[in-house]
Amino acid sequence: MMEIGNHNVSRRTLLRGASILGMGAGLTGLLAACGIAAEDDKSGDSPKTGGTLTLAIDGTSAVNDPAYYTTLGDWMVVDCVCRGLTFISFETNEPQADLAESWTISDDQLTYTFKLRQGVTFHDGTTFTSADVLASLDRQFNDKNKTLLEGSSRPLKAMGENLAALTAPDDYTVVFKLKKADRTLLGRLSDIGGRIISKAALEKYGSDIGKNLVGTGPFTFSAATSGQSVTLEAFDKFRLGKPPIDRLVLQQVTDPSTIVSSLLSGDIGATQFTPYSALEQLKSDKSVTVYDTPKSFDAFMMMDVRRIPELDVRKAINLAIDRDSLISQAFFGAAVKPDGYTIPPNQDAYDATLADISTTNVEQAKALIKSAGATGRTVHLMAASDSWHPKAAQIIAQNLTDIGLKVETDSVDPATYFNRLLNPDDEYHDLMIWERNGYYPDADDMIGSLAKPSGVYGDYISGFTTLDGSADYADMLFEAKNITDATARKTRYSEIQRAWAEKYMTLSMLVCAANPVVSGADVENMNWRALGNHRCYMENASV
Amino acid sequence: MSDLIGSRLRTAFAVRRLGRGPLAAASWIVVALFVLVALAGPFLVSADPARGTADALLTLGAPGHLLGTDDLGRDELARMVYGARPLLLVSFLATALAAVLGTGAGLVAGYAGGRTEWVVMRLMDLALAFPSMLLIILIVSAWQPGVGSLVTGIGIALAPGLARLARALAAREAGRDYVLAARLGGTRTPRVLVQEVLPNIAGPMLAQVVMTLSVAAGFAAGLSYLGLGIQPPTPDWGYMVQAGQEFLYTAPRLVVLPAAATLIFVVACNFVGDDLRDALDPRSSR
Amino acid sequence: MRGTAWMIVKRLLSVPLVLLALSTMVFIAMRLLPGSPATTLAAGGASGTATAAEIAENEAKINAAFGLDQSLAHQYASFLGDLVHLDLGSSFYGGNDITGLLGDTLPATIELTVAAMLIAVLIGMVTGVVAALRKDTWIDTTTRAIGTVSFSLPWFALGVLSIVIFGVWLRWLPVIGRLPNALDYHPFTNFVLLDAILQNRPELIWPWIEHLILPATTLALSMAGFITRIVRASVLEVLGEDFVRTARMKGLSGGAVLRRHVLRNSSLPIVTVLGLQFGSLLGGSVITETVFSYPGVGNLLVSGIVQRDYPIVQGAALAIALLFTLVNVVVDLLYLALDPRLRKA
Repeated sequence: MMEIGNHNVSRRTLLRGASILGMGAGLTGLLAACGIAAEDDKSGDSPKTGGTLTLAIDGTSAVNDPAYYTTLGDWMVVDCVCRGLTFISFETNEPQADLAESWTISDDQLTYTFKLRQGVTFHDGTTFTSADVLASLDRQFNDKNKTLLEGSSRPLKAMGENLAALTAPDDYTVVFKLKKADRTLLGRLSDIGGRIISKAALEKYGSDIGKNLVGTGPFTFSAATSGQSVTLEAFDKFRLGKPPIDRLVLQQVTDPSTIVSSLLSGDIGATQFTPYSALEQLKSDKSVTVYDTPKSFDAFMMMDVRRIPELDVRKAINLAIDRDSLISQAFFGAAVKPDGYTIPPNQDAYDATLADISTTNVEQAKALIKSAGATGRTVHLMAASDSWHPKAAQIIAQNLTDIGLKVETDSVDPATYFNRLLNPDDEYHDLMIWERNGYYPDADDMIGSLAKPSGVYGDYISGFTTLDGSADYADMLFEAKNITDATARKTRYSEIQRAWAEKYMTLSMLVCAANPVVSGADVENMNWRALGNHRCYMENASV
Repeated sequence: MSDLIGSRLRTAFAVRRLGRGPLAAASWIVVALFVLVALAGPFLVSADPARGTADALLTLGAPGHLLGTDDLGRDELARMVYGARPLLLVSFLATALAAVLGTGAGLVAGYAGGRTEWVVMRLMDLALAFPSMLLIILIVSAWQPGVGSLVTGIGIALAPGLARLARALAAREAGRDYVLAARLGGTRTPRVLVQEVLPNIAGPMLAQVVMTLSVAAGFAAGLSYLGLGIQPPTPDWGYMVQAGQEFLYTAPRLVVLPAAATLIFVVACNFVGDDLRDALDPRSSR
Repeated sequence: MRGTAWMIVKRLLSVPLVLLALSTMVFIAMRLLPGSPATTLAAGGASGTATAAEIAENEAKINAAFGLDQSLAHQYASFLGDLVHLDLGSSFYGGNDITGLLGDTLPATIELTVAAMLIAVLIGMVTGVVAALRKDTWIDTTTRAIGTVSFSLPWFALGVLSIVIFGVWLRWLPVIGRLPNALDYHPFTNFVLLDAILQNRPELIWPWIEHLILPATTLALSMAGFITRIVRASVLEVLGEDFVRTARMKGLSGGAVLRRHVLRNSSLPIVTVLGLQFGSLLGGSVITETVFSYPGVGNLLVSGIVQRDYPIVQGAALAIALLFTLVNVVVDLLYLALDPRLRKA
């Protein structure tokens, strides 16, 4: 048995020790800013209290339900209102204890026993027990659950399919019995889908829970209007103490230039939806803080093997991409070359020795195209019309023209694009620019999804599943994700990535990029790393 | 002197009254210049408006780039010159479509009267009952963004206004002697409409059509700003304003130049319209 | 007088017909848009490990739940059936009630457009009358030129520019939303001014006006130039009429003539134009609201289009059309009230 919970004691000791050395204020601020579920966030400087923090979000449908995705903004609300058994701080990539105080894992890795924290209060006044865990997770695992909205996406569905039994021996113990080992379970429980809702509230509101969400998080739900904003209030009985700010508003701001202007004017406190092009300008302005947000998402181009059947042509396309131009012109510096292929630099399995997969060599690309007899061939390229996508499409179109292909580009609005991406019969389904953000920083969420033959990427988008030998990757990825030793796991992932790229090349990595977080200069102790992953931990933030 | 000769003579003489006053004259020159630039684009600039160089991004004063380069290193001057084309093309085609649809419908309604008139005019009311901008957005996005759908959308949205005028004018003409004479002489209705009625309402209609041109240009620019016009990398002023907005703080010329060009064109169209109306339809002016 | 009543009834009867035709158009247009809400919903929230088959299955479920698997004719019939019962349906994204959403957003849009209208009329009337009274002087020429330029302004760039100038550089005015987020506002009628009075909260009024100034002025500018033109033309026409000359000869002062005769008689064409222009105001408000993140129907409409949330788009479009149609009915009735000649007919 191994004991993984209770990291907090050592952290507290560290903080105390640091303050004795006279680095208290700075270091506390730094660590608190990383938003680790700190037990003693009152040490050091007492933060400013009161006030309203407004975050700009992509949109809201005024439905905040961990089983039902509407917009990134709506799920940020879930993140603020509810907490899960485990917690990912984005400072380390290791799951920490949250509503579960500690846990034990059986030697065969099939039984997870969680000891729950006692004395935690929900916003509706009820006390947190194992019954709430069962009621909340049943909504993920059981599609017949009465409190689900029609068509709920249930992000933890796959975890449920791997579950032999979920039981609660007593009020403060929950036991997961798995069919097959799954090392990622603790991490996935920290995801939005694993957030715990009050059972009493579920019984009261049924499938309307998304309009009346009740959790144990630092902020309580106050009001929401579709297409406008969601208003949250600080919860004074939050288990780690009442947040410094009184009110948190997540407001829909869709126009990119308005996002920049309202950051500068102070109408918006912080956002991760800053347009890349404004970063230089914002950095030079004293009224805002631009954070060095981790380059945590994959920007890539999928190639449909049913349309571009020759491996050499796909490799040539990958060799043609001018990643320096993409970084400077499409991302304005908020990106790095994909040296770890699909695994971004902030993740444990990142391995820079894979950099050669994503090199640029126009001469070699030309030669490959020529020998494949593809010179002058027309390829179709599509991209969404928002954010960095259209600009990347223009750069790549130029790159591919330079190696002797004829390129037809189409960029369409995101909703249309998303549908066309999933339709292999689409006219423009040769090359598709897309991205993958991980809510939970693990290789299984990146290469594990991208190379999974039966997944959307391997099936609808690239047709990887139609190639010989693709089926093996399902097993290889499953086996890799369960390797407990981090170094061994990293080695195995690198082998898989290299083999996948060299044998198939269905995915050309463009860059690893950041969702650039910017805040007003008066906003302090905000967990910007998490915000850069579309996660919203504002319990320590002050304005 | 019969009405027929009077009207035609009026139109002919009216041309001589055009362009009086500095504002009107300047406007005519501006519109002509814009058309010329749009037509002669490739002869005026050598740079490729759709292709950039990575070594000069967003720079002003780089050699060979009079107006600098945009965010993808493309020559801004070339983009400004080529960017005139979609706006002019769409505004002229859409106005032509609106003129044909509106005049046709109004002519038939006004001449025929009765039930036909009721049906045609209610259809036109329907199109007017919805803000034109929304109507066009619906048409364009339901079809597919591009020149074709933009022209159709704007043409349909602007036709009813012209139809109302055409109907009123045609109804007036329908009772006149020369029309009666033509009908009694056995001329078939379409012929009467085209050969007798149309020339007589052409003057005031033309003035109104040119006024419509400025409205069409405003819509064309606005919709391509919304990304519903011609698709990148083909340059287009409206879209250039939208794309340049990101650089409002760092390279404001990317917004100011295309916005100003659009403004100048629309204003000039307005003054030209005023001038034409004053010349062709003196009764309605002042 | 019976004639007048009949005209009013006829005018009002046309409203439902117009709305029916419009909702049909919107219904068809939305179904023609590429991209389906089911795919967006099913794939949007799925975890990366979801298989293609799972997403397809969920997509089918969502389509069934929304009735999108039915034939278009069937969908249309049920849409109309609901409409008859004044049921606008609920959002595909989580089932929020459309009627409720319109209740939230319509007042905000009405506030914005009415404020814009007031600003436009104020500017337009003053400049128009001045231009007419100083006909053919440099004042007249300049006013007309500025008027033409103002209604030719690329309205789409105007909002963004005004945000930069007044919100960021000068910091005079807030740039987004309707009220500061820090302020507690519990809408009752959802008209801020009305609520401020009803709930006795005068502190709401100034922040509300502050938030309204930029979007309303942006919206008003293009209309003001147009009103200047119309006002100038109709004042000139009235000035040439006999009764004005008579009044002047009777020794009435210039101001009195202006008030009693000129403005009154030139108001007819102005009112007509205002009604028609209200449509372009509403159209413009869609873009303005998006730029200023202003919580109105236009913003709702755009979000709905982006998400392919058919019921929201249908509801919002219908609300806008209804507003426009009603304003035009009011204009027609005003016309009757203002013009004695029409009443006799």
